[in-house]
Amino acid sequence: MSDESVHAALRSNAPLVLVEAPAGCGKTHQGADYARDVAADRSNRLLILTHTHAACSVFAERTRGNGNRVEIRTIDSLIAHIATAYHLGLGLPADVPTWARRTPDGYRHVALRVAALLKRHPMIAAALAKRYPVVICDEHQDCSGDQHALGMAMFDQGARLRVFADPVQRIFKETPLAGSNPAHDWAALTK
Amino acid sequence: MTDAAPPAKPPAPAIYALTIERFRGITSLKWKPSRGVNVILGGGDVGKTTILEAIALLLSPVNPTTLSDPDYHARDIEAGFSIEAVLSLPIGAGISIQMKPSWPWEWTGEEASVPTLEEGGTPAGEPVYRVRVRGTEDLELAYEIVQPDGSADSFPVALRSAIGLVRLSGDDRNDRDLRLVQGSALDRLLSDKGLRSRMASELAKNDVKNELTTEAQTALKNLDTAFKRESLPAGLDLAITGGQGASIASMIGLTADRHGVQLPLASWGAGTRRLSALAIAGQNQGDAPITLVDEVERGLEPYRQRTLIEKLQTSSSQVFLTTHSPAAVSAAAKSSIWYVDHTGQIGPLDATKIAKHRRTDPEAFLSRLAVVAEGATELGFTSAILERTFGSALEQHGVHVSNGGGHEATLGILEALAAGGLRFGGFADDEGKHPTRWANLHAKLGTLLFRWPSLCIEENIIAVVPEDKLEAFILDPAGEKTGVRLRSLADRLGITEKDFAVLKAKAGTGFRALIVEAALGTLPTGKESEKNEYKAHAGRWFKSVDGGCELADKLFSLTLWPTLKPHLLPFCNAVRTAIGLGEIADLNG
Repeated sequence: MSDESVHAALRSNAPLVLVEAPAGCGKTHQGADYARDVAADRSNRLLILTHTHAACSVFAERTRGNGNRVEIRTIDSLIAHIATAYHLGLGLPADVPTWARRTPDGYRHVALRVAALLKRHPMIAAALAKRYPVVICDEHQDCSGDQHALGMAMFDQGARLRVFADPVQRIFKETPLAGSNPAHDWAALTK
Repeated sequence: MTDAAPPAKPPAPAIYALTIERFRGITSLKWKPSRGVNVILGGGDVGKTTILEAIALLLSPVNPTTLSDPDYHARDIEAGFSIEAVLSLPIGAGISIQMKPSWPWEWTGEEASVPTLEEGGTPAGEPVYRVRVRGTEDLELAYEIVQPDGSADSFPVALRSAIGLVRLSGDDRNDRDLRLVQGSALDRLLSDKGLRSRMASELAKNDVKNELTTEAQTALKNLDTAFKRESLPAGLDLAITGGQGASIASMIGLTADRHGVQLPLASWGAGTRRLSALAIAGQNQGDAPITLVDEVERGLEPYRQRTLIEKLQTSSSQVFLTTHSPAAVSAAAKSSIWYVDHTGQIGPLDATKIAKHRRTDPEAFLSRLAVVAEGATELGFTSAILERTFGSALEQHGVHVSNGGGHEATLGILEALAAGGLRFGGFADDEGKHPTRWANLHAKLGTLLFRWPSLCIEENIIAVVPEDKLEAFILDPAGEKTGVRLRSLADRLGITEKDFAVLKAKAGTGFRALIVEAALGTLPTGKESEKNEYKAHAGRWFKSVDGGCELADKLFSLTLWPTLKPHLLPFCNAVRTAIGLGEIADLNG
């Protein structure tokens, strides 16, 4: 895809846009550019999901000045946030992030349960989709099946999804936990 | 549930459950109102208006500043009070754009519960939110959204205002929805956010100083000089500066043409003001604010009450409405009817089971304590006995005796009322039918339900009349029915003479049984062709409201009361206790 066509596709009304490009093709630049445009419209709220705190900082730098209309967080922190709100129903302690850090594969267990909760109760994803009508998923190739399920749950409830992925990079290759969503074929999203 | 009303369109905000603790006169109340129109009935001072005020406080579109100790139950400020609602909110009611995210609870049909992973074979419930307002021990209000993890976030004015509340209160002076008061129906309709500041600057331009008299201008000038001397800000002038109390905008209200003059709508009658407020609210497109109507009959003729209720029943708003008007009660056919009993509990009146009773005796549901008597005789008898119990008219105590319309119908009504957890009185026979159902009612109502140990009222009373008082018993004190009563006995004996002594001699030991048969209009065997004539005997004896009164009076004039007192006095005292009076040792003769 050319820069122009990516630029246009991101801003289209398409519910889902997948931007596939190897590293160094200016994905983050395109994403941040788009985020700034979305947030400039006062009626919009935008959620940017990354995988690392470093990536959060890059987006924060690029969208500075748009106040509370842009929320940037790692996908793990959003999952932990949901799990904290519903910890009584998930059988988790009140302080989910601490538990997740201290437990082997903690975050993966939390993601597994949250994915199941979102499947059972679409209203939770609906509340998120209403709060964030636009969601940018950065470095999506790094998502586990359960993390991907969170994005798709919001998409199913009407959020517009903008997915950036690098087909050659994939950091996480471990076997999914029992009961987890299988690693997804994100490349098939738009087919 | 009494969901008579068709389910309203989903987008309207609605209260699914309301819990009030220690607010004003209410100690503790839990209620699951319906989505449509909720008509709240009950006698005076049972807390109907307090329920409306609790909802108004919880959803208040402004931060009410004045709390005082009577807002706290029994003035116990340290204990605090709390009003909590489980709310169904349309997507876009503002809950999703709060600073902190609010998480939905799952509505189980009974309560808001934390969503879990358990499937249980049932579909997941719809999303609801828990909001509450607490009166703290510092006489302050805390507005909170309760999250599924038990934590509480702020329930801000903006969100309350977005949910919307229209209030047609019983207060004659209340016309807030006709004014630009923050959050009023008019304010929501115009939604001109900059108006306040534009008006303030416009008003500030007014040259007040030139309106002053010369003396006043001199005084102002002298003050300016004094300020300069004291090194205070100088160059004094007068202008409209707004105040700490009512905002300038709240002084702006709708006016309308009346005989060529623009007059404030607030100066019209109460009924018109209330209908106007509703019309303004109805003008807000796609807006279905929760609507509170206190005493719907206030200022409205019966035909306008019916029109208003019809209109509310077709709107998608959730409505809470109190009334003392029989016309309003009978118009509310598509509403859920609720009754607040004398203990302050609210329960449903099953629309289908009480439909007939609601039409024939709507006042039963407008009293503090209703006693359902089995028939006309029991109605007259119970009223007379209870009047002796109080020593004054029943209305004065908010007690209403109602004709249940027969044994089966009375049982049905009492069961419908008891199913709602309500406390009613009952007065019935033992016809030997439905022993289990009656026993269940006894368990719920205790001595407030009176039943003869066996048989009916006439049989029980005639059985205790001494031999030497039977002639006096037959005597109609009004002098009208004595002759026809004796005639009904003579007919049954097949003789023409109707002299008491002759009748008694002819009947012999069966005389008392003969009186019972005549009083009940029993059809003798072999007389089936004259069925109507024999059945009509009952009406000549006691089968009427007056007949019931006569029986009650005879208990005392013939000194039968001491024998029946062990049965009847506990019932009389149960009614006294129910309305807050102490027990008595005996009735006055």
